[in-house]
Amino acid sequence: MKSNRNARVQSIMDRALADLEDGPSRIGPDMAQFGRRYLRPYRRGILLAAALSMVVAVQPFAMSLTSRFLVDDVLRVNRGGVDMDNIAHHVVLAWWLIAFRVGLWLAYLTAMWIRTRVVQSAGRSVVYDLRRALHEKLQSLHIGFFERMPPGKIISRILDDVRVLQNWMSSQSINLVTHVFELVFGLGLLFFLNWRLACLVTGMLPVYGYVFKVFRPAIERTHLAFRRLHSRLYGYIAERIAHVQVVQAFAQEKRETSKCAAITSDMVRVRMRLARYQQGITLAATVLASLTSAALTYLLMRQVQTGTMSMGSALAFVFALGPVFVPVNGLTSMAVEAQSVPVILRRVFAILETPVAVSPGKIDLAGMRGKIRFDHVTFAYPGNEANALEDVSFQVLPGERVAIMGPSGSGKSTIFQLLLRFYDPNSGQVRVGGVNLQEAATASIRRHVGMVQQEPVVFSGTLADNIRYGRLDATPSEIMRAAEWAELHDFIMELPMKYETDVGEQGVTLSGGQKQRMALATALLTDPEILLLDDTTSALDAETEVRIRETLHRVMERRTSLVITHRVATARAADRIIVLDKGRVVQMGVHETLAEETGFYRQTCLQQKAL
Amino acid sequence: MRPLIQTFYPFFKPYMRRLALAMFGMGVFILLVLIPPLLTRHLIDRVVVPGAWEQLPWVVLAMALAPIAAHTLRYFNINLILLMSTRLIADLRVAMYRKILALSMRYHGENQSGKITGRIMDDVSMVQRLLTGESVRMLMDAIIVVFCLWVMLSISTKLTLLVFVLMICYVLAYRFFSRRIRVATRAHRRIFDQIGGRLQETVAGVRQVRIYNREEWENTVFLGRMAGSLGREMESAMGQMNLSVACQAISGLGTTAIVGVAMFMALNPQTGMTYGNLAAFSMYTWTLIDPVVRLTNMAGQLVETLVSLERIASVLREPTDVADPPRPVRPDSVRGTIEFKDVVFSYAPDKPLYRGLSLKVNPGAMVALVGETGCGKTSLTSLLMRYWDVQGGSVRLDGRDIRELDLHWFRQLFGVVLQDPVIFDATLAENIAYGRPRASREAVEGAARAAEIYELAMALPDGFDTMIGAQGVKLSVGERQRVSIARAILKDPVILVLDEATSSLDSQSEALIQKALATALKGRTGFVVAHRLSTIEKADMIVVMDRGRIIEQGTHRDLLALQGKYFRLHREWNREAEGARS
Repeated sequence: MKSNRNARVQSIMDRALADLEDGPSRIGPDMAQFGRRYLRPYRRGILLAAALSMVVAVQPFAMSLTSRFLVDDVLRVNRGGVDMDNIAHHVVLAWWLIAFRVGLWLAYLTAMWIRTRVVQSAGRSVVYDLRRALHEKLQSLHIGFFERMPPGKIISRILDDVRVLQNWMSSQSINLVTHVFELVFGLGLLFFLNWRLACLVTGMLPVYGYVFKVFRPAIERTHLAFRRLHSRLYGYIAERIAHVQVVQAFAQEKRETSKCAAITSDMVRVRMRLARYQQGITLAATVLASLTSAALTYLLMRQVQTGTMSMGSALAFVFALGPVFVPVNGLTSMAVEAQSVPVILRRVFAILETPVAVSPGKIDLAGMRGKIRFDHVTFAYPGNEANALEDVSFQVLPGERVAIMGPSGSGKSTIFQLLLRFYDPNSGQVRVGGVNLQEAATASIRRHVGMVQQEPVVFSGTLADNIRYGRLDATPSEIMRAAEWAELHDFIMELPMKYETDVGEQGVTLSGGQKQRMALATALLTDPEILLLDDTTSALDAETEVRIRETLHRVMERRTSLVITHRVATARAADRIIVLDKGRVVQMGVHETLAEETGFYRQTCLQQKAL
Repeated sequence: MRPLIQTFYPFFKPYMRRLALAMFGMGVFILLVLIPPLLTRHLIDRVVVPGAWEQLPWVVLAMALAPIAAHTLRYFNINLILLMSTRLIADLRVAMYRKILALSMRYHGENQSGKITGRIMDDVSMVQRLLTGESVRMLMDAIIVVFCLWVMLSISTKLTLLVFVLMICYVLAYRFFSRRIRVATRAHRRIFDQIGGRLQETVAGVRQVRIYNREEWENTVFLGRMAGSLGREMESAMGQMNLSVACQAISGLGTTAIVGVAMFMALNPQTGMTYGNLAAFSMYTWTLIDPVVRLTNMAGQLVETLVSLERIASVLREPTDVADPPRPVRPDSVRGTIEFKDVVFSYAPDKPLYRGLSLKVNPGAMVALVGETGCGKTSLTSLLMRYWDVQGGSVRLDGRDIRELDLHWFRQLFGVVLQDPVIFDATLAENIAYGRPRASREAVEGAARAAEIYELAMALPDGFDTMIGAQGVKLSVGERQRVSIARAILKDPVILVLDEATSSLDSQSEALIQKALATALKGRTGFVVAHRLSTIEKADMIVVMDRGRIIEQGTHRDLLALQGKYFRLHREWNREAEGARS
């Protein structure tokens, strides 16, 4: 029965921790690099903090020595009590004691204060440097990196992982130093007071440490499993509530509720196991500590009885025991956390060491016309064997409007990816304005070529912010004109805050069509020589699309445009149509010609009743 | 307060007796923990000083046993308390979730989904903290304070007064610093959330950043906010440091003062102050500090918890406006005649949408709803599915008001494809089988074939068991749409509601989907919010709507002959199909 329950909790935990990456670590080189590059600038502060830790560590033991002085010399407990004839002497001693204690506290507090200040500020500077390096790296990394790694993971590198390092630097490492000093000073004092009993304590410390060493990793794992279950429940509930319409439409309320109940009861089970571990460790430590200190008290008092030890020394010994056991507890818990540091360092450095794959050229495309030329281009996405484009050649003249069509997966979007130089072709060349893109400056390519993505991105902020993203120095009237061109202005003017309405996570939700129009406005604001539209009007109703097409027609005159589309009506308006299939150009020409040829285009026309 | 108790009492009820037992156990534990200083005093004053050594073994034994007994008791007690409170919290969460899923679109329209999730997760966590930590701790603290003060007063009134002064200083320092810390921490957290949010957006939308050459700018924004956040964090950390230094100064120097006074008292035998008393007294002073601070702080935390409790209660008390009737009807068979009869409905009181709308649909007919955005096409399907209830008139199925029917049974009749297809974070098979979780793999595959996603599924790394959705493989809009069509097909509904997507799939697969939908619609009543000419022309009945009214109704041919709104719309679509050849 009991083992059955344990197995059940274990399987819940295993599932929750299934994808736990232990990850490789290269502790030596990583630590060296971390020290050299990120810690070195702050080495003075770090050394100062370590020195101050000695003062902090000595305080509890100095305090326990004052009680020896109080017992043996001031009050003469067990030494016949205060000598009433010589009371003045005792009073002087008492004042000395008070002065010493006050001085000790002041020294301790000053050391604490300075140390924390130094450590915290160094820790924060390191965090700033690290996050800065990571963020700058991200901006220059190859786009393929973002396809391989989900956004959540990337963000957790910058925020969570760095925070663990910060925590480790600004509190753990300094605690480590302090604990070591505490152990040294504490054992030193015990040996000074009574070396035989001190040997006994030294023998007990490993036993005490062992208890923590056994429990801690289990506690950590269980805690992690619990946190994961919690965030799973969070994600699950958030998703279902956001789409409650579907839940109700499919009449799945009962099943959803029992699923929620299942996750929560898993959480109860794991939480209980966690509690048993946590309480178990406290109980075990308490039993050990109280047995040890009772035994020692007994032995010490026997020595007081025989007169081999003064009462004050015995009490100082007992009072110092606690502060000797505390660092053992601290050190074992630290050992667990310290294990994650190399792994995290490796993860962070892995990003920093990722090579920038697309090497930038120098030629600026500014002032060149929007001529495009694909010259026997073959390309496969990294990690994919199949070619996304195979020996593709075509040319687009300045001012020409070209529609690209083809079934999904035929390589339409890949052409755009190459034109923006998110990727380089495996063979062949992509030329814009006569320049091979590999020789052009990346920023200038993207100024020259504008693109509206199929699934537009909305950033949190106002509508104006989002449109202005294309050109930060745009005036309000320019923004408004871009919105008018994109047929978005009328909608915006109906909103309560007009252009200052918040959109994105916190604000108004935009429909697919509104997002597309907003993205179009952003692109139009940048006024690019070449405009790429990736099925950009797909979410619009027919009337709006007609209007936008007419505006675009006007606005894009004399500019080059490539449009990926599924609609014959859109393709028909283009100067030329390129049809792709399986990465190859299979048809090219104007509507009238292609409509007569048997093939994809004619078929599409027939389906859309456009013939 | 009373309504709160009424709402939450049922949740506490099953655990009441064990809760009381656990509280009692806690009290005993605390008393056991508080004994050792008294034993120390006894050891010094009664054993060592008078030389009564024969008592030594017993005193030492008591010193060893008191904490062991206390912590053994505590071990079982905490387990008991935690078991009850985590179960209670789980009950509460499930109850809230059940309630929220049952609430109508009115509630979900008025409350953002993030906010509702926050209620279930964050507010309940807040209450959990009260249950597991604070209430137990409060009780413990109260016992500690009373016991310590009692012992201390018995030792010396004068010294106890000194301790009072110490405590007041302590609480004042705490108040003074903690406010500043809170302000700085909140500011820090706000900026940090902003950073996280922005990072999420720029990483997920990395192409947007690159397309517009905003890399440098994003760096500057990030670093600016980072510096701000770290500055606030430093402020808060230093605030905590100052607080801790101040508190340690007060307690350290304060106890030095107490020890000093006690020492001078001990030097004068007439005061009766012994060293044992002194030792016990200073031990209790240390014990007293934390509980006092916590107790004075408790008020603020209780207020916050009450706010959370209030919010949870408001969810639980929310009336279910779309609910089962007292005696729900489950007809044996359904023909599928649907009738809207003088329906009155509005989302907001001042903006009436339908003012007496009537429409009758025969079983097996396919209705195309046509009209401009905002004319009330989608709302009509919402009323049909009882996402909302009508405010006047009725919606009838086979002549019976749908509000008389069993809601679960009624919703089982529908298959829905939404314009913005929803994909859950689960495998492809689970997504398709959402409406029929126990469907066989063959059935799922059949539905996938019918919706033209079978080949897609085969191309995925784990076939039908590939995770799709937020964490898994990203599907294109067209693919998502086909998944949701498969979901509707698998459910084998009597009535199919289709909010036709405006976005075009690639033509070939779209044609196949149209075919699949045509098969799916056969023998079912269909409601299509239509955008495509091909769909509309095929419909058995076309309903043209304008600002909440049905202005034309009939077959394609009828409506063309009418030369009204539909005629004009049709001409426009045709022009669109012809394209801007000019």
